[in-house]
Amino acid sequence: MMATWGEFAAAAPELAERGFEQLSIPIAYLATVRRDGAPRLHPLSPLFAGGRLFVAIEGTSPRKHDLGRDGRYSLHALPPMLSEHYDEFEFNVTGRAALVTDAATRALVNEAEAARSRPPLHHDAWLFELDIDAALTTVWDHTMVKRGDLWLPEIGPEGPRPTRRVWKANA
Amino acid sequence: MATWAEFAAAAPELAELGLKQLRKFGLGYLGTTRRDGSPRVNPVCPFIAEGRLFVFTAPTSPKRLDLKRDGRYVLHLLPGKEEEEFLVRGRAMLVTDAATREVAAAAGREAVGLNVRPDEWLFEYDIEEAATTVWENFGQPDIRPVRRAWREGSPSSVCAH
Repeated sequence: MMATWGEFAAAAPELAERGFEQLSIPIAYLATVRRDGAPRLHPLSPLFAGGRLFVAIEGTSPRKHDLGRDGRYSLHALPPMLSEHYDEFEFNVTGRAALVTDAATRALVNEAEAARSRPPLHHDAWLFELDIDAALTTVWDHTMVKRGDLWLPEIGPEGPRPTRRVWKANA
Repeated sequence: MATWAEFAAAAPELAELGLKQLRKFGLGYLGTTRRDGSPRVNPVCPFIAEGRLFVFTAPTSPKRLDLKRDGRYVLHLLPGKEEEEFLVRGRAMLVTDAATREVAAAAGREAVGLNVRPDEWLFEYDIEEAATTVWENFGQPDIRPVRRAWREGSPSSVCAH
């Protein structure tokens, strides 16, 4: 059983809030599987509308066929900006993508994009909804030090330790 | 399969953009295939040592088992200010000889401040293909991508659309 973004957010609000924040910076990386079974990645901006998570893929991109053939995806957010409280927050969701063909859902996404001052979907873009099977987060216990104007992680002999959390839709 | 140096000799413009992005961020996103055939993506710290591309991987990271089983990878470096993109794909191979490991650990420390522990796995990333995208008229309405691609055994090609 898979969850929509909204169902995930209702079940794990803190994870979802930080996840939303990190997925909302300009790019995230979407992984799909090519016909020959090799991995493919592409940087893109995830879309949120009506408590659902979407990606738009250009009509010319071979990735649209990846997801049509095998909907399994993995989406990874970029880390946050360096700061005094930097924890290298990693956010990853996995699940299945489904092609959206109805005009109403497309209009919903366009409305949400307009509300964030972003342009509408390109007319030949393929829209996929990402249903969520699992969300994984990792944070690192960095010791941050200020060097000039920059906060940087201090690399000690042991290195930082990760704390991982996994949320599963069917748990 | 080509090493980084062989790729750079065959397609110097592409490699130059890759090096620039690598030096700037020291961070890339690695795509691998899991046992069940689904995709995985993780951030990694790639670096170059003696003309070869390497990544150290934590001994708890599931992607190391992906690569051991099926070495096919794709690696995207973080895009630049004007969204320049660089990617390589090919096969990753586990490195077990101590001399290479030592050289790589020293280079990783120098390049990206890595502090390599003895239990980390080292993979060398051989390159079959590389591709770049840079944008003409970036930030303008008439923005247009210029894509370049190199594949082992063929000359560097440009395709713009």
